[in-house]
Parts: sequence; C-alpha cells; structure tokens
Amino acid sequence: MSRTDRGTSPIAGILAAVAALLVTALLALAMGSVPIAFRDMLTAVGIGPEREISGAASYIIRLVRLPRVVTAAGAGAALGLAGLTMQTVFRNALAGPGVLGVSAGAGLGVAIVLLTGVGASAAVATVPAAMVGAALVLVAAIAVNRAVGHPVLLLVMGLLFGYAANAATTLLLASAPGQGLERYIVWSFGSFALPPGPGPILLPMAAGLTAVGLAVAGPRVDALLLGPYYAESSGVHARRTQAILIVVAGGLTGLVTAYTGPISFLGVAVPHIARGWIGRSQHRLLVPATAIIGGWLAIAADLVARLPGNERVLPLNAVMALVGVPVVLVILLRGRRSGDGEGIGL
Amino acid sequence: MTDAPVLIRDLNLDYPSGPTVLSAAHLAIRGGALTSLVGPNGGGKTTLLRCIAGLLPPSSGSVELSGIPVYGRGALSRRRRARILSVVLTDRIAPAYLRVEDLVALGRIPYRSVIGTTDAREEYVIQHAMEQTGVTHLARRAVGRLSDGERQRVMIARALAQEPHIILLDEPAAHLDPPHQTALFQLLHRLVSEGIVTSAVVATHHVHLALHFSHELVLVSDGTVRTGTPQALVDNGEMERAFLQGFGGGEVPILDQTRGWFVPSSLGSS
Repeated sequence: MSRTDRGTSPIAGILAAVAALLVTALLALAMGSVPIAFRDMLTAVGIGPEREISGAASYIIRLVRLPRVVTAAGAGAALGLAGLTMQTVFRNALAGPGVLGVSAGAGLGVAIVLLTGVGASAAVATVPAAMVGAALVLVAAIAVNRAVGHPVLLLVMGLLFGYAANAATTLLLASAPGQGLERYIVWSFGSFALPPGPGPILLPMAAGLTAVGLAVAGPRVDALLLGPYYAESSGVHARRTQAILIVVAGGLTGLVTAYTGPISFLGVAVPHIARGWIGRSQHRLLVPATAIIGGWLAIAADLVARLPGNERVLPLNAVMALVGVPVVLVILLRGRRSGDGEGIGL
Repeated sequence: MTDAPVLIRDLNLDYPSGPTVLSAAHLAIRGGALTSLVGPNGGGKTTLLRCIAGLLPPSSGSVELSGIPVYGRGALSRRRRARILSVVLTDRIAPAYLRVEDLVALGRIPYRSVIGTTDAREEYVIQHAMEQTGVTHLARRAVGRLSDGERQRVMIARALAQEPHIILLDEPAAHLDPPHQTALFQLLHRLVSEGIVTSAVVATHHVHLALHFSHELVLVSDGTVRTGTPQALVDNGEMERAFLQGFGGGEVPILDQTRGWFVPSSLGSS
C-alpha cells in the first residue's frame, strides 16, 4: 500500500522531512575538518546558551559553514522546484532543470571566461559569466516557445541548445591553457562553498519565493498534469501558465548554476522522492515537500563530500550521484513491490 | 432557455495551411438531449468536439453556447466557458499519485479564487459528482491504480464537478469492455434525463450504443454534418452512406439496422 491509499497525512511526511533537514543542517554545522563542540556550534549560530567560544570557532561556523549549509539548502530546494516544474510542464518523469539547456549555457559562459583568458584575473567572474550564458539560452528557449508553442518541441530544442553549448565548451577545453582547464574542471564539479557575495542569501530567497508562488497557483498547476486541453477547458490559460513556469524554472536553474556550478541529479530525482514520500501529486503539498527534501539532500551530499578526516573535498556532483542513485532506486523499487504501478508516475 | 445550448453557423475547420476538414452551415445541439457524433475515422468528430469546447478556433464561422460566442469578439472568458461546458477527452492523464477526490476537485478550478481553499459547498459538489458516477468508494485511491472503466467514470465526475450545462465526451467507451460501454451510455443518458446536465455530446464509434441511447445523431463524414434522430438517419440510409462513402477496406459490409452493427453483406439486412 502506498501512502496515497493508507491515508497517512502528507503533512506529517512534510514535517518529518523538515526535522530531517534541521538535524542534518546542525550536523553539517558541527562537523568538518576542524572539530568544533556541538554546543559551541549552537552558541555560534545563536540558538545555544550565551557563552564564551573561541574566535576561530565562531569565525568558521558563521563565515564558512553557515553560508555553505544555507547555500546547499537553497540550491537543493531551487533545483528540486525547477525539476518539479519542468516535469509538470512537459508531463515527463525524466524532465529536469537541465532540459532547456540552461545549465549548459551557463557552462559555456564560464568556459569562455576561464579558457579564453577573458576573466583570468578576476576571481568571481564565473558568476556573471554563467548568468549571461544561462540567460541567453533561456531567452532563446522563450523565443522558440513563442514561435512554436509546443512543449515537446521546446524540449527537443533545449536538448539541441545543450548539445551545442557543450560542444562549444569542449572545443574551448581542447585548445585551452592548463590553468584555465583546471579551474573549469573544478567549477564543473559543483560546490556549495561560494566566494563572498550575496549568493547564500539569494538562493534560499529565490527558492522560497518560487515555492510560495507555485503553492498559491497550486490547483492551476495541477490542471496542467491533465494536459493542456483539460487545463484550458477548466478555465486555465494553459500556454501562458506553461510559459511562466518555464521562465521560473529556467531562471532558478541559471541562478543556481551560476553560483554553485552544474549540480546534476538533484533536480530530476528530488520530485520523485517527494512524490514517493508524501504519496501525492498536488502541487500545494508537493512543492513544500520537494523544496525541503531538495535542501536536505543537498546538505547531506555536501556533508559527505567534506567528511571529517578527509583532507580533500570530494567532487560534489560525484557524491550527489553516488549517494542519490541508491536512494532513488530503493524508492522506485519499493513502489514497484507494493504494486503502485511502475513507481515513476507524476 | 431560448437559445440552443450549442449553435454552430457557417463553420469551417481547416488544417493549418491545409484543406478544410469540416464545414457546417448550421448545427444546433438540443437541450435535454444526448447527442452522439458518429462517422468514419478521420471524418472530423474529434475536431468538431474540440471546436465546440473552445479548444480549436475555426477558420471561419461561429460557435455559440446559449447565445454567447465561444470565439472572437465578445467571446466567453475561459473561466465563464468552463462553468458552462466541460469535457472528457482521450488524452492520457499523467498524475499517478493524484487521488481520485483530488482529481475530481480540479473540476472546481473555474469557481475558485486565486487563494481559494475548499469550503463545505465545494466539498458537497465534489462528493455529489463522485456519487453521480459511482466512484465514491474510490475517493482515496491513486489515479494511477484505477482500471480503465474506473478512470473513465472518475474523469466524468471531474467534468461534472464543473457543474456544466453541456458535457462533451470524446470516445468515452474506447477502452471499456462491452458491459461497461453500455453502463457508460446509460450513465450519460441518465445525466441528461435527470437534468444534471442540459446536453451531453458524445463522439463515438459505438454505433449500436449511439443508436440505442441517443436522442439525436450528428453524422460527421465527408467534410460535412447531417443531423436527425437515430431512427430517421437509419431509415433513410444516411447512416450507412456516411460510413461507407469511400470505404476502402475490401468487401463492403452493410448496416444491420436493428442491431446497429456493420455485418458482411452476405448475411443480408434484417
């Protein structure tokens, strides 16, 4: 039996996910290459008792780990929501933040800056470069959507944009000097350790605003799951709603990619985990569940990537997939066994 | 109501930059009637249905619901249209994890405010719609786990939750076994006879059911429409001609007028 039939409250499922998110976030604050006592950590982030702690511990928690955890939570939530939105718009379980080619565009922007020496001197030039690349692909996608107005064609065009951008990036890589090559590869690993800037605040804010908007529009977005004709016939402007959702998802993806590098896997997998967890498809429930589970998984993956006792930080993307694939497999296979159909519905 | 629930005038439906699919100089769908659209494959039944539903603008002509145009100047808004007319289509529906009662609740979208939550009256309409089609016991079942027959009744319940005057159905019996096909037409007939909807319009290949249950038939073939009672269209041979014009499937069958089936001509007409 699934949660759907059992009638288990999806609210309870969401609250459980919130608890998991908070516990994991506190663990991620306490653990790292420098050991810091748990209660010192609590004091440093302002939820523990008022007491003297070392300046170094306070600095590490407040300026290194806290921004990193907040970034992970925001990026994970944003990518989960972008994936959910794309899956709804395209009514396709395999759709994700990458389908418009937005992150490939961001990658090309970064490659141009790092590999042609344009921004070799500026340390943070990758963020605006990625934003410009992502924005150009998104504008192209919107233009295509206006011209043809058919989501499936847009999906194919997005794939083509992605291939083209990746090909251009590969050409640049092949002819690049060694130093730029290394910086590009490190960027493409993905990381929640951001250079100083508004990133850690921006990502959770973008995810939060999107979540509120999607939840308010909930039933109209649900109607899209029945297809554009059903949506139109129940009073929803299907094409306009789809276009808005595409812009929102593409914008979120571009924003996250610009700051953290391309984070794979999360965006496609998290909505499926959320559906399996709460057993519902309504966006009013699925949106908070997706945002919270996305944030939670991102924090957990980042924690594994910088496990204490490990001098080097592992590539985030690799950890994400290695940790995430078994989780998704278990959820899908469990769905199969309990007779919930193929287990990958929307 | 002085105006017909659906009134079509001088309608032309074209493929984009292609030939005309269908023309109808005048077509009125009556109130208090179950109307079936029948005709050969590619005749334009689905096209006509979508056009009436406001989903496919005609290249010329007008479609009116109770005297208000569906397209063009002064046309109904989506929301107002959705309160007059609802549809059951052949589209595959995606949400496997949506529960039946939540799917039926989507029929209330045209009545909700932006923030809109579900109040007692809304809840009553949703429950009532599920009772009408006999799916109350499935309320908490996930849509992905319904049989074809159950899903069809759930989709009709969703359409009824829109509290429409007119319900349009495209091939609603397509994937059902014979007893369920009959039960479905019985249900549609009852919706009309009990006044739950003013008109039901069904595009169908199940000629025998259309003949038995419909108050009125619309033959859609050869790019045009002809209306009449089932009896009249069978008696004057229009029914048979509509299907067999340009028939390209080998030996031409004939319509068994009492059963409403096409049978090999060697069996003869009864």
